[in-house]
Amino acid sequence: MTPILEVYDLWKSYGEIQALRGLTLRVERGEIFGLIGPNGAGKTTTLKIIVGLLSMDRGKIIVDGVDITKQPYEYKRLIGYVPESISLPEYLTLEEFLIYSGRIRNVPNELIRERMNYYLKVFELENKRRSLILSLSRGMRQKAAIAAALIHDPELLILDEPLVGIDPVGQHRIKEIFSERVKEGKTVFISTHMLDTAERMCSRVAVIHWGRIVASGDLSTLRGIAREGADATLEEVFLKLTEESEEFNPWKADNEAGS
Amino acid sequence: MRQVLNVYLVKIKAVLGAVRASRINLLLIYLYLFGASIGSFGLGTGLGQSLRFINSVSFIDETSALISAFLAIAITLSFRGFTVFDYEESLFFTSTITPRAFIAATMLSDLTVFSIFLIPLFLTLWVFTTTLALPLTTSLSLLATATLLLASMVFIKQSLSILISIRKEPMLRFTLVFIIALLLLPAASFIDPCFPLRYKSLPYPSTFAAEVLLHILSQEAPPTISLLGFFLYLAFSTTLLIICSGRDVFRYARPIPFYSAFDASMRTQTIKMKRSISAFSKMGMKFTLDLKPSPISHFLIRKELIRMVRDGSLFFVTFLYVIVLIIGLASEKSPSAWILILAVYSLLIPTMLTVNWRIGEIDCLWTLLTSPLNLKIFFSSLLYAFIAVSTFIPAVTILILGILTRSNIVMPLFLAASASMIGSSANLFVMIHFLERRRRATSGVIVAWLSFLLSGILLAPAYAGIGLSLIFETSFFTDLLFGALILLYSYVIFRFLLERIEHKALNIEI
Repeated sequence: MTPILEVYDLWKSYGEIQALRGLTLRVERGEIFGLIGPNGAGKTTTLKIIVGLLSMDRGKIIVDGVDITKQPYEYKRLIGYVPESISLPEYLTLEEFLIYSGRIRNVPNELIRERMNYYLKVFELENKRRSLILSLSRGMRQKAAIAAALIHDPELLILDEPLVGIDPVGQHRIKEIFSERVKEGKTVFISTHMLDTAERMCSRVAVIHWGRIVASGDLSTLRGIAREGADATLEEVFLKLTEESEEFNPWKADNEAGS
Repeated sequence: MRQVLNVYLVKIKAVLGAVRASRINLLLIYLYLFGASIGSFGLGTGLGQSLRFINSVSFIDETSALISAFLAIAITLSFRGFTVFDYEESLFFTSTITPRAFIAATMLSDLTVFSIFLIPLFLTLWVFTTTLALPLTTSLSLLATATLLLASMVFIKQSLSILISIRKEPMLRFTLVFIIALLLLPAASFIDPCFPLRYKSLPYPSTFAAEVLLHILSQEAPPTISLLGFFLYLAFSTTLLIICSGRDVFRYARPIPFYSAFDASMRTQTIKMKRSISAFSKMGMKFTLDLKPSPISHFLIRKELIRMVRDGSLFFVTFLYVIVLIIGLASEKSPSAWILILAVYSLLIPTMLTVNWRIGEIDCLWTLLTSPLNLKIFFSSLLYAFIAVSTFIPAVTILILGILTRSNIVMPLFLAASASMIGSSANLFVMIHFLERRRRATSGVIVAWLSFLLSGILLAPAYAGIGLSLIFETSFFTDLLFGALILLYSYVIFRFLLERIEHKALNIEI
């Protein structure tokens, strides 16, 4: 079976800052895949390129066998995306926003109604259905964005820091939804700082540092790469891997060259 | 004193930072100073000359009315209460800085900033005293009196703002409204000379100040009663400030989410937009997005129209055209006045609609860009919504004016339609162009001006057409022919720009 997402040799720069340096990763179907890394490692840039919000300088991204540069619209039927900082149309009600999200993804009206009712119930937002987004709290907006990303039942759900700002009950519900999707053969790809959550939730993780993947696999594979013991936590493994990959730090290299 | 200086420096840096953030801000300030300086020379000379022909009673009446008007404005401004910028609350209010030190620094920084804008005023005063060939001591006395008067108004405004924040009783507000009315009431004597109240005969601070100014100008010693009245007013405003600034005002302050009065950042615009949505959304809830079967383009047009209702765009467009209607009705005999305003508005409306779209929607574009919806469908729907609004409201206004003033409305109608098509597509094209990676940092004001300019250039044939029609008073059928050609031209431009917009939209990076 083809992987749901393949990223090959991805490069991206912002002016003189090289955000991604030949990043390569592969996400299989039916798993929760985590992308973890320190601030500025390139997590959000990677996700934004995959979903079409940023262009790449070089590289290749294949979603479900479709090269995204060749078919810039088609592959988006397969993905749902939730950004880290969420801006929603404040002038729409929650219900209108979900209807809008469904309509622009070509979801039949009956399915929009059904899924909207379902997710509003799951996220305990039924009483906010006719409230303007302007009046919703940050956590409620986050839930609304997740509901909108799920309204077309995507094969690949991509989320940037999905649990930040959400109350514990909401976090639990979201994790349940992720598990249900995996059982249905769908894939969840998350980027996060929360290593304990990643450890418990993700079947595989990739550690990104200085714009490249330094290690990828399940926890035991990562322990092996980091030469850590069988009881090492993801946090310990992560710290070891990021420390070792400091050799890729371009600023450090510049400083050394300068001195 | 050190506290005052520290707060003052931070506040000045915040203002300078906001000014320097945009070259347009600097350019506007230079333009203002340049234009106002030229005006000051004219005004100063004119005032100097006119003073030779004015009698003392008129001088006191008019100067007192002017000072009273400024005082009324100062009191009106205080109704907002004690406001501070967002950063000031988190930076100063959590420190050991006392309210009095903060208020002193605030007034000093306000005076510093406003002194830039007051340069033309002082220039006017200088030209005025030179025209009258006044001695240096007289000129300096005039300057000192004007400065004291200005400072007293700042004191009054600041003190009342604090009082308004601390004391919530409606009685205080009623009293202030009553004082404003009292201050302005004698101005009725300018309209009706039989009105019994005149500034000259009332013991107003403005009258005392006007009498002092008149005597300084005449190089005579002011009467003791006027001097005493003026200084009592100054002492009152200063004492009021000292008392009010001694209160723990920090807990009553109302933060405003800007960095300074010059803050025109996207963040500020977004906050203003949110306020607008909360103000207008109630009205707009009558129209909703629902699941009624309809083509996606219709659905998107409806969504954009709902946005324009709920964020107030539609209200402001209607409001602007109500002004056209009033002017049109007032200039019944000559339609050129309202046609001229229409020509300006026809450029302005699409720019306004596009700017509002940019402020409200740019951060939400991720929902659209991560969807499989063809961007051409979205942007054409957006354009149709812009065109619907910027054609329908002007067309209704023109029709009403045409019927009421019996004017020929064929060309104005074509102008409205043409401006709507070209203006909307040109504005959106420029907007999307500046959403590309390397151009995203461009100031919104520059983008709006460029859009305005491009629309103006592209609309030149339509303007030429309507100009020719007015000059040669062409027949109905000639107008119709001209109009059809203009419409065809506009449609070609619209289609061309729509293609370019779709192409450019693929390069948007957010």
